[in-house]
Amino acid sequence: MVHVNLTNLTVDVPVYNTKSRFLTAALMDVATGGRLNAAKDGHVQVRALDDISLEVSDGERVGILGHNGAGKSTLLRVLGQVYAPSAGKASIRGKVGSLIDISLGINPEATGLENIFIRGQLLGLSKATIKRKLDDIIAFSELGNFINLPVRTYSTGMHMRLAFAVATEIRPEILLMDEWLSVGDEEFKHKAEARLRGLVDGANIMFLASHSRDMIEKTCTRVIVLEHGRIVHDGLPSEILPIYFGS
Amino acid sequence: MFKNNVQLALMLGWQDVRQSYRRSPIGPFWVTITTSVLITTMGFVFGLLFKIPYKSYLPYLALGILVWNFISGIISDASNLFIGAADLVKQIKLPVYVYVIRLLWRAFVIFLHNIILIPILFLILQVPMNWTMLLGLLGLILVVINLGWIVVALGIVATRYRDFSQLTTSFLTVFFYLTPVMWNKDGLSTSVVNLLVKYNPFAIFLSLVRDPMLGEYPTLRTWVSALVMAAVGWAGAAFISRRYASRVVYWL
Repeated sequence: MVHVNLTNLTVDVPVYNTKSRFLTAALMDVATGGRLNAAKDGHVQVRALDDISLEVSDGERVGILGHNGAGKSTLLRVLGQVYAPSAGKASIRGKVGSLIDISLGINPEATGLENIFIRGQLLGLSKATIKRKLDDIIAFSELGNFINLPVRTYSTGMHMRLAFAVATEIRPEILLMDEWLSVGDEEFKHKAEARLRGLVDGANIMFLASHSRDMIEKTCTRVIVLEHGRIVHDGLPSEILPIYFGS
Repeated sequence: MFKNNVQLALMLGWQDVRQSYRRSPIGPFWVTITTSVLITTMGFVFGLLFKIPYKSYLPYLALGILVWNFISGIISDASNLFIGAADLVKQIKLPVYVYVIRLLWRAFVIFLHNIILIPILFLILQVPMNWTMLLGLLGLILVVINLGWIVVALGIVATRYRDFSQLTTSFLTVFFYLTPVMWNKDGLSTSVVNLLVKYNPFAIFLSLVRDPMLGEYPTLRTWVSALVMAAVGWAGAAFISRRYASRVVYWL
């Protein structure tokens, strides 16, 4: 049963290069994003998420709204099991897949082909699976013979097409996205959109952090709004979006 | 899952090696060339100084340098275990062993490029080959097991306390001279030297790989010391890892 349950979850991110007491005091006065406080040993600490409780069940599509620094990315990292909670509990049941940084690990000096394996394996695919899907990936990316050239010779568009073609090979139960992925020219965008929709529809649960009202309206069944690391709104898009965006 | 992770680690390690030498036709053999020049020069100078015949000194020195470079390379890279892979650590959840295997594999591939010097040298100097050499392989495995816990422990601690990287570098420089890499304990059997050879972990590691390659058996004491170090070390590394591995991402 795919399920996400966060209970009283708090994430404190320590900042180790600001040791001075003066700086600690000064920083705490100008808190903008997360709340700043001092850890026991005098280090500055950013409270990126503060007492978050959230239960998400199979089938839900959760949109995450909030200003820069409100904790959206931190929340996605908790869901991706990268950040262990400083306090509280995170129970995440299901295979998690992330489309957050689809270029992560791409080596510009390596060929497109090598990078398919690098990216694919970083996404958790086995070598055998990648080999099996290799032709599909190459065909989808429309790179042709460029696949045997180093990625540094690619245009930005080609680079993104390659990254997108590999990243969308994953079949996660819980899908994490930071902004809706949109790559390539008009023609490719169409193809990409269909492929991404397939991936999203196949996932049991999706989290989408976004600034776009449109995208959330189209995709999500539920919206949470983060502010200073806390959930300030949680409900249906039709209720929350007018409050957050005004009217 | 485990199989995928090991495959991933080996691939990342392999890419690291390729990355350093991507546009060089000679590639990792540059290290081999550098090492052989170093060994020839040092062999010449110290052979004269210590008045040891080349035929016995050169193999001793060559094996010493190769194994030392392997060990010290791994330990100095260990403090960069997570820092060097910060973008990965911050984005995807991977078990610690992925980074450890990546580092060990990278060092081992370079070591394999270097080790081709040994048969060449042995052929030129007509050093007799024998079956004890296979024991060196067993010694190497035991050394790698020990390096494993050092990498885990140092990798985690050095991410939190950044001074460890500098500390390791000076520590290794000192131990290069304190360890019988280029000097031989024979004929220097004062109590101080004995202490350096008996209680110096690097001397123990070196002896396990080098002695069999030169047709000698490491003492039982050496084997037992390495086994005890591995057991105690892994217990410590497991403790550190269980307790702090999940904090590593916050320290980057």
